[in-house]
Amino acid sequence: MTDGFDMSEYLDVFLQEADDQLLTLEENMVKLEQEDAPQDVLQAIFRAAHTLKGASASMGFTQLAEVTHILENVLDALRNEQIKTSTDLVDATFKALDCMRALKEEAAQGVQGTVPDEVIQDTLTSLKTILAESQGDRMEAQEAGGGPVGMELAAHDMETISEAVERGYNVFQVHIKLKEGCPLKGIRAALIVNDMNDHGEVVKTAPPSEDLEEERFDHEFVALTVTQSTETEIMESVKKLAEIDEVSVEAVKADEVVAAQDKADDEAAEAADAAEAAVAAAAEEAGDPDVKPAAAAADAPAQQAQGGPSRQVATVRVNVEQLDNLMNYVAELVIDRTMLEQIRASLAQQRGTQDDIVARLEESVSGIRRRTTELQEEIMKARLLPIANVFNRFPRMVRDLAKKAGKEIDFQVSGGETELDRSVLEFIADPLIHILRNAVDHGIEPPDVREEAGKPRKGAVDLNARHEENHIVIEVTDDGRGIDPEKVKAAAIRRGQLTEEVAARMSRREVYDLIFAPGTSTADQITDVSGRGVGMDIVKTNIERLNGQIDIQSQVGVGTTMAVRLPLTLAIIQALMVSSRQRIYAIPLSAVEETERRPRSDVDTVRGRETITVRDKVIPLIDLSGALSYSREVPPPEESDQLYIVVVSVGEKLAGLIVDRLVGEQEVVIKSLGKFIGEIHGISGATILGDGTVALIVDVGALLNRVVDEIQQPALA
Amino acid sequence: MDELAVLDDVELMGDGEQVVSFRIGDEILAVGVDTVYEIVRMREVTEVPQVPSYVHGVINLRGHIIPVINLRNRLGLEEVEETRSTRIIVVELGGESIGMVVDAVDEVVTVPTDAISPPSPVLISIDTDFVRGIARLEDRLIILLDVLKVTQFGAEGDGEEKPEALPAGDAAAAPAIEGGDEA
Repeated sequence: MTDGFDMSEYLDVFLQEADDQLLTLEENMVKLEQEDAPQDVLQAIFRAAHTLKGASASMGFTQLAEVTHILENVLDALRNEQIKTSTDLVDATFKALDCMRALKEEAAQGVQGTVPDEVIQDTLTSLKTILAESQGDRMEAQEAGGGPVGMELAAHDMETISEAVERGYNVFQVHIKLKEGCPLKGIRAALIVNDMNDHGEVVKTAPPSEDLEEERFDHEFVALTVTQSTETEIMESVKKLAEIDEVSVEAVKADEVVAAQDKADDEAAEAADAAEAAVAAAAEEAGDPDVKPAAAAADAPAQQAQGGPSRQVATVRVNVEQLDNLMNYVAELVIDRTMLEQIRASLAQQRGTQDDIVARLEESVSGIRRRTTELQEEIMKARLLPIANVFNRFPRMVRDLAKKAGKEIDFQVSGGETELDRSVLEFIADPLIHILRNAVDHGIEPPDVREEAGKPRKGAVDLNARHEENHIVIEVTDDGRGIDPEKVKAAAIRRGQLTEEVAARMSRREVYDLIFAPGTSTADQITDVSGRGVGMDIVKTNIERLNGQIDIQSQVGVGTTMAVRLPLTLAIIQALMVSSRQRIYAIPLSAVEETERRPRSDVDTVRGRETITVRDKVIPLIDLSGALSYSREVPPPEESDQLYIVVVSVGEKLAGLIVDRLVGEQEVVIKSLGKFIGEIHGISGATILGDGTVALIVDVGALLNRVVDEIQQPALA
Repeated sequence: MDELAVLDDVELMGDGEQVVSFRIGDEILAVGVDTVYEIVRMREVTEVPQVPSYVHGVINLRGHIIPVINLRNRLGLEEVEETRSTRIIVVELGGESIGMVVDAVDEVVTVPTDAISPPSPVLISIDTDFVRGIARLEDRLIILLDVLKVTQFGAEGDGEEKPEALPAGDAAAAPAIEGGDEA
């Protein structure tokens, strides 16, 4: 570490960066094994290792830097085709990844020595063994070189240079080596460039200046500068700056620059040609002359050959809290807008709608209305993240599971770009892990069994995500043995969950529901039963907690698809607004089966509880306000002959909520009632209505649990 | 937790505490200015079930849902209809905002430290448990409310209120401090 330099404030940034790089490594390492290691994968993975090495070294995490460094060497050898991918290699790189994770965690916790030395040594040895395969000692060469420092010049750079040379300026290539582990090297580099700019003009740097700023370089860089100063003057000036290890200044002859330029041009042209050919081929194949997307894709390699930065979407990291604040401000704006509308209305009453001021007010109010709606939508979108954030860890997991279970599996992931709210994202990983594990452990048969059944030895497991209206649908499909309803029934009967008669009458769907019943979850039972169900009850509970649904489709011998349907966000739900005793409530629409208007005479009393028959089912009735118990009772409205009943369900439990009035359907933003109020039975949160008042959100599950248990439910659904 | 904010007050030239004074019936009460986050006009309060009766309910404060305490009820005083001067004083405690409904807000005053004496049940009509001290200014007594105790939920018998009728103090028509941005 550098003398007394306080690193703590950079730690967060480092950790975040490290997480990103580790994820990139993991994502791409899995691909190493699958495909024949395409160059872009190798590049991505190498770059990630390289960046992480630099960052950890500069933060003083030497062990992490060391492991990453050797890994980088392996990847470099791979990239340069000195070694080939093998299971050993992938295993070794994964081992390194685990080790790096552990070391990163150490860094995050601010502790040391939790990762045993043997583990680190073992990791290093496995990597070095792989490296030993590569002939020669290029590793050393790579070390000394410290990364490519080639320089490619664009046409306008060339013009600047040749003009400078004509006018008698000097052109120097300045090679700077910062001290190893120097902190804030991005800023150092900027200072050095600035210093050279005092003497002349830095035309170009390698790596490019934005990479320098963002510390995307090892500890060396090259700057091409046009100046009136001499070599020594530049050298002396730069050397005065801190944290510099070595400086060398070399004069550049104009013809060299030109030659270099020609070479770069050639490469670019080659890439462009290849790209064009690809476009042409694609066009031919598609039989469509208008091939815009392909052409866009073809731009990328050409650009890369130019040494330009690969295309990136400009993004910034934003704290979630800030987004939440933004949401709140928008909500407040909506309230202000409502007030403005009221003012407009009373003004219109006084002056008439034809009045000029009233009309202008109306115009701006409706402008504000549109803007606030747009603003709200944009902020909601900003909270969305691609599901790839969760999917990314699965290829590795499936690989490991398959290896452990002695299965061969081809795991395909699609739809990773599908976006959903981060609040949902946090909670779906676990259910998906369960489902995938089931597919691997119990769905896919061992290779020999598959072969006997006339299936390919390699089982297929597909993970797919897509949007459907306001939902995201995630499907896990396997081509394994499928679920045998008879076996599931037999097991349920054995456990006393069912009688034979009930079982005989069950539909396939009802049988599948058994899989989610608690008790189906002990492993040995599952394996003889259906080959499914490890913790499936937990999966279902978790998904329902997110206002989602899970659906199974399966065919014996062909395979199984589990489809999870989730709302895009937890922060917003569709709700049925109802009024009870002058209070407005939001009932999540996902729990609402139907609404009924029934004469009071339809109500029966069963064991002291009011019930009603809806679609041949006797369901208990719950008076919404009564069930919540307020300290201030509001008398019910005068007895009317008609009752409004909202039929709600959670799982197979049904009940009817008696309300005074249906207000309508609306999207509501869920908010917490806060620590002070705490948990309220039957209320899951609150929401702010358009007029700025607060409505409570009904926790249907809690209300039902308490009431339904008291009454005999008709035969299990 | 007696954190008297020592503020430099040029006029009083001494140690003192700045408080926001408000009225509940005939009493003048006050809370430290540094705990007050905002003062807003009375607005529609949504009642919440299963809470003690002194918890009036929740309101929307710029998109945040915050609980509101009925201070009259909390202090064992008779409840009155809200008037034009009824305000909600929003205090911030441990990162949570809590509103207190008061009859009217008066002003921000500086109370010299040496004017503060311990609460005495003889002098005031409210439960001294909730009182941090009494400040004697020239022309009036100011009851310094222990905000922490008032907002402590379920600490001591948070049972039902005792609705003994005390003479209804007519909500004083004191000049109100308007709560910032509230129109």
